[in-house]
Amino acid sequence: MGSLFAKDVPALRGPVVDQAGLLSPKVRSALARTLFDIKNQTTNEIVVLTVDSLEGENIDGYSIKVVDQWKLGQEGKDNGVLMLIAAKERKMRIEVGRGLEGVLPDITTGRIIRSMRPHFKNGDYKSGIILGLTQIIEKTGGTLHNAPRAKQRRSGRGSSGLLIIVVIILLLLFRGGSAGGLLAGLLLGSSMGRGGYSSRGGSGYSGGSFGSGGGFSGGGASGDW
Amino acid sequence: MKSLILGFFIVFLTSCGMQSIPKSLNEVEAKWAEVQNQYKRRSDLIPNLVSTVKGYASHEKDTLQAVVEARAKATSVNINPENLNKESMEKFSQAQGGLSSALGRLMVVVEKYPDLKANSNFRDLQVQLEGTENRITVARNRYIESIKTFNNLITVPPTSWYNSIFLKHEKKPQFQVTNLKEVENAPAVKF
Repeated sequence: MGSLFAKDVPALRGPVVDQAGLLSPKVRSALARTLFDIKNQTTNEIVVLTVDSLEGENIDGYSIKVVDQWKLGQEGKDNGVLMLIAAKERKMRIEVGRGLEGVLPDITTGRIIRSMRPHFKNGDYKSGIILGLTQIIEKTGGTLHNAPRAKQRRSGRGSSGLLIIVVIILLLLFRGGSAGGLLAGLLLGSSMGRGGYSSRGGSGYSGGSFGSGGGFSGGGASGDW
Repeated sequence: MKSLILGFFIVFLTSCGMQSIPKSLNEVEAKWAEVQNQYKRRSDLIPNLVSTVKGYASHEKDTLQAVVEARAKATSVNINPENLNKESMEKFSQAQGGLSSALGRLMVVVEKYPDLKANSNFRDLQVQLEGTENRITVARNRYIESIKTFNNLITVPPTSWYNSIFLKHEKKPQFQVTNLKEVENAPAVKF
């Protein structure tokens, strides 16, 4: 079996490994900064991986192979999340580390995936990924810096309404020109002016490395579009 | 005297299984606990699933009944890690396999009820069931890996010498896919 399904696991060069090239370098680096920032805030390690094709492997199996190798999250805390997107198969999965299964149960990840689906259907990967990440970050206790924060309300509806507004603002800003990009960068917790981070280039980013020994046991959800 | 020293020397040399074998055994037991844990998680989802389906598909009494019975059977078979052997493992696999195929049939039947499939409670249950099936797969694979390591330690020299002299552990059973056909035909709980 091993030889039949032997798609390699790419190197973990940063929190956004966009092998399928679904994101522009600008978006990629802004997302990477955000995810570094989230790691600094919460120690949670959230990583996006896009691949061209699963090469015959099923997405659940490949996903667990990736996280077993990458070991996202802290050892003992097991607080990693992988968002895996397979372009050719049109399948995605959110793999949740053992330590985050409480705040990100399968039902929640299933809903997140369903919310990303329409964007992916339109070929708008950027919006889908940002929408998904924003929800993951919110559920796992991270704060998007300088972004209008969702008030801590007991009613889930109110907070998700605000969340959607935040997401829409982010999406609009990402769509905009360079000024928009700068604002989006600010919203995402860092200025875009500094030396760009790109997972493809693999340029050094001194934000602490990902993959600190977190364990997974198959939690999360998969979907297609 | 000389042979005594030689004897000690051999024991010293072969004691490389002294730590690794018990450690590996602990690993096997932990992985087994996880496997049972995940199967239990699946069983726990079923009453909710059955009652949800019942509300929409009351005609499917037989299929639902089969799931309930298979669940009862599956939850009655548990193996303590110390009693992991071929027979107990076979019994366990069979009971869980029975539940897998009963669930598979239920999921095929469900296709006929678009209202049910659109029900958000049902969709959430589906996601949970899918997640549980995936966890079972992961736990099983990890158990299989741990068994491989353990069996290698007790059968491949030099650690096997230590085992045959002192520990006398027997090989632990791998997952027996007794009902291969059913497992293959069991529709993946995917939508």
